[in-house]
Amino acid sequence: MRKLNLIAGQVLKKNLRGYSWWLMVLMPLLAGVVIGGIVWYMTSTQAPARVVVVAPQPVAAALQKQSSSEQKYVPISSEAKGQKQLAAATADGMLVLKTTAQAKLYRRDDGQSISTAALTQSLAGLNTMAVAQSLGLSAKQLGQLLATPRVTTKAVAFTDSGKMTATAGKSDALKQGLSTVVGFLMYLFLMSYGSIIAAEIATEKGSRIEESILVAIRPRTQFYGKIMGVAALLGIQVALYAVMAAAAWLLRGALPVVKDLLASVDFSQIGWGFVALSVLFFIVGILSYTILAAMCGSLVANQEQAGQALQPVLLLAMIGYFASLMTANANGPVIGIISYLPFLSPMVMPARFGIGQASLPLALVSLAISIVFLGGFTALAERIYAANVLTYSEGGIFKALRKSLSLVRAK
Amino acid sequence: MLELAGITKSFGGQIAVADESFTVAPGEIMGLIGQNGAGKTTTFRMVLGFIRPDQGEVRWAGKPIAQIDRDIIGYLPEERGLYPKMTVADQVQFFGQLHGMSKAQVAAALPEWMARFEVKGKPTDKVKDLSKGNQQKVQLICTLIFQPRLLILDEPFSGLDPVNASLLEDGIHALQQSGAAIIFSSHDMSNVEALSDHLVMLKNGHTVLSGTVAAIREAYGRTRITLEQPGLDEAALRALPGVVAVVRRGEHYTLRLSDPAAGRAIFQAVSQGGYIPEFSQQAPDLDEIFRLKVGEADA
Repeated sequence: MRKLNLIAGQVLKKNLRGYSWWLMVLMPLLAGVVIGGIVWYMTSTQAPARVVVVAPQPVAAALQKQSSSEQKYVPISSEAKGQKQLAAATADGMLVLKTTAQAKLYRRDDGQSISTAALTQSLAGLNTMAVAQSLGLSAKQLGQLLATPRVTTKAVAFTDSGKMTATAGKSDALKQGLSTVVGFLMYLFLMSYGSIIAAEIATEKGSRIEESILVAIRPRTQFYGKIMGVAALLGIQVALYAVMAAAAWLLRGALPVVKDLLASVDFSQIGWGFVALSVLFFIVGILSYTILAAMCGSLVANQEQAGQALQPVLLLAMIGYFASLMTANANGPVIGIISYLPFLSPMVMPARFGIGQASLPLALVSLAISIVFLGGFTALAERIYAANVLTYSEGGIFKALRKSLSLVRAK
Repeated sequence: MLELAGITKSFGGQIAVADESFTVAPGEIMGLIGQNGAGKTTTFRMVLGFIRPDQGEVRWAGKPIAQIDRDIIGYLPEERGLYPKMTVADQVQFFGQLHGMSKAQVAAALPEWMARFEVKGKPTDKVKDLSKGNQQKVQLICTLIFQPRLLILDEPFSGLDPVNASLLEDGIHALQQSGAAIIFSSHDMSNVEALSDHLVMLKNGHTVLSGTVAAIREAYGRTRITLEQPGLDEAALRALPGVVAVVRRGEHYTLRLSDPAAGRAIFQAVSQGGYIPEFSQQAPDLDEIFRLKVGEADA
């Protein structure tokens, strides 16, 4: 146990002291900060379009009240003054109104863009009010006239007997977003952990330090120690994200950006079940790929071949990633089967569950399959690792795998 | 005591080691010699438990090697390897703790070991920033700091200059005095002769020599005479009874004899009752025996 902890501690310490792991962990946050920063910079440095309005006083005043952060309406007394401001580039456009039903917009070619849709909507509102007044309608009648019909959507599915049942269907945009984010993050993290472990084993093998280490410990202790180290890193990563999420939640009042971001996501549509399932699949998925990468890392002879070791990992991860991308638009049997296959299900099933294609019991069945497989695969990978870690074959990874499988069978 | 009892190992039908047997007692140093591919590293790997013999058994203190506490084994592989980005202290800590030392014990012992091997660098230096020779010394410290009871050194002298080789010899002797059983391989027969209490020579996996250095040399008889400024020229030396070959290097001659008993008559002939600076009749040295054995046809 002491040696197992020592190896796990070594993996943990090496990665916590290096920058690669931190970069991977902070990547989503950094990407969010960079994208948010760019959006913030663009919106904060862009002044609202200034539209001077030549119109009867009540209309101009009403329009002025409808100014927004994108468009500002400024009443002026004559078209001549407006032209002057256009010429001096102090205005981006001039709106000339005889009545609320007839308007003319003059815009500078090199001015800020003016949303004619927003302008038309404002004028339509004013026109409706003017017409309502002329017809002598009360405020209540006007309210009834302007009421927008409410449409509520319910996703449904039909059982084999034709009975209609409600499902947890999400909006199309959210569907697409969930599939993409879950798939991409899984792909990013599992590739990163796979690279870390495969490169580490290939380097230790190539530099022959492995021989010095294996004098003191058995290969299986070293193998499980490394996996434990990666599991600890994973735990720290999940804990860090939890802390970041909690901090963002607590600071939402003080940071408008965070508040806006949180407000833009409809958490009720996502649900805690999705979050919990994604975390579980995330842990099982990362461990599965880490063990696969450790096994493949032991099949190569040196660090230069570490890339070769990652090929099977990369291939599997890519299939899972693309399948997760297609999940929202393809609810066929292929995606259905893939969502139960170990290595692929951690990327596909959370997305299917998140968008309501799969129910919780089915998602749990898929998770159980992955966990049972992980147990068996770990035992096999450990034996292949032990058979290969001190064997130096230049014949390629698949030849080494075939050889080690025959060694494992012979034992 | 380390005991190898009739171990045999073959890879894909090719014999790597055949029926190899020897013992190394605590406080003893054994040299394992042989050409490249003779089976030395395979022997080490079986002793270390990396590979299992097809036949025979490796035992330590009467127990199969697979069942012993591995903390007691120190191994320096032929191809050196360390974590280049790690500091010297972290590196030694890792190996020390891996062999049962506490963090405090390693920290306390490290400065003494760095001084003993005259490592030019600080414990906080990264390994990659040290010279190759100093990296090699750090690896030696990693192998020795936990005072192994069984020490296996595969070509420990390769790449070391004479001064550093001498420091290593001192380190090995210190460990021997503390009661460690030590096996090492070397292509430099002078190291083997200087360090080994006994040696084993392998050829194509078979043991072709075994015993103490003195006994092995004596077994060949005192068939070498070295002379300086003899009273005879080269042709006359070659014509002496019992001389089968003469090699001249300046004023020095080396005579190879067919029978050691011829030495007495040769001494009379070359000294002619007078003075010569050197006359020495000895058994062939280890280097020569090695060449002879390598050159012999396989049995």
